[in-house]
Amino acid sequence: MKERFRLSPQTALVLDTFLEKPRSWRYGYDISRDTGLKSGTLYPILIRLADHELVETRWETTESGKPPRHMYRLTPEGLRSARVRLRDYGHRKSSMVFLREAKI
Amino acid sequence: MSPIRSIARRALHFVMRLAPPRTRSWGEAMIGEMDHIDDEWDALLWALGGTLALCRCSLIEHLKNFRNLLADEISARRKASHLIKSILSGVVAAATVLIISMLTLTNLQRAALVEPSQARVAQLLFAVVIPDGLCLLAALALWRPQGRLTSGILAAGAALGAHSIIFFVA
Repeated sequence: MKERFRLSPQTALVLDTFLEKPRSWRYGYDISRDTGLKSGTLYPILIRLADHELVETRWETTESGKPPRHMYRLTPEGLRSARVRLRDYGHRKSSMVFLREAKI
Repeated sequence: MSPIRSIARRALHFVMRLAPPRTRSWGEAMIGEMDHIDDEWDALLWALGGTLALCRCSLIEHLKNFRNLLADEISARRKASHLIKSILSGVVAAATVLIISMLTLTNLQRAALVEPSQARVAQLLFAVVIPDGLCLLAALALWRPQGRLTSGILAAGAALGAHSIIFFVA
């Protein structure tokens, strides 16, 4: 079993965004806009979540001429873990709200 | 494709080529996503951020691989060292048996306890039968618990046996 990952405020933001529509597939840019995280911060988080099997990925073919898009959503384990971890994270929720407002 | 987007794409492609295979697929994801961003400057910023992320992830991945490689090498060296030590111990044990056997033969001959007519048989007994028999017995007894030590004993025993046979035939 993989070791428990460190929940940074940015990771909490990403998980929180996934939890808004738990079973929907999300694009990287879509998550970036929702969380205000730049690609340089977002992708390492997504890679780490995928490594821990909390996020599943798939490629989606789109309209002709454009390359396929990589999509992400929480796995059932990710969903459960995200809910638990964000609940534990509650006492730091105010800092998350601050981050979201500040679009860090 | 605009020059800005082209630069952004090239930067990502360049880093992707240096990245380990696992990280490369994430680079493809970043490039794929960039082509869906309409604003040129947003696309450039996206690619630059992605380039930095890829560099960081690749570096971490390379360091992890290097650490694993180092750990494997250290483990292989330890195993080889253990193997050599065990085999050498076996050889030393077999050589000790041979020395004791030969000293016994010499003492018996000095004490004139061996008849000259029986000298050949005594030599065969003390130089081949007893040491080789003990080697074989030790090898059989230690086969399971000390496989490598047994290899050493058997190797020394075989060398000893071969040497003795050559000695007696010649």
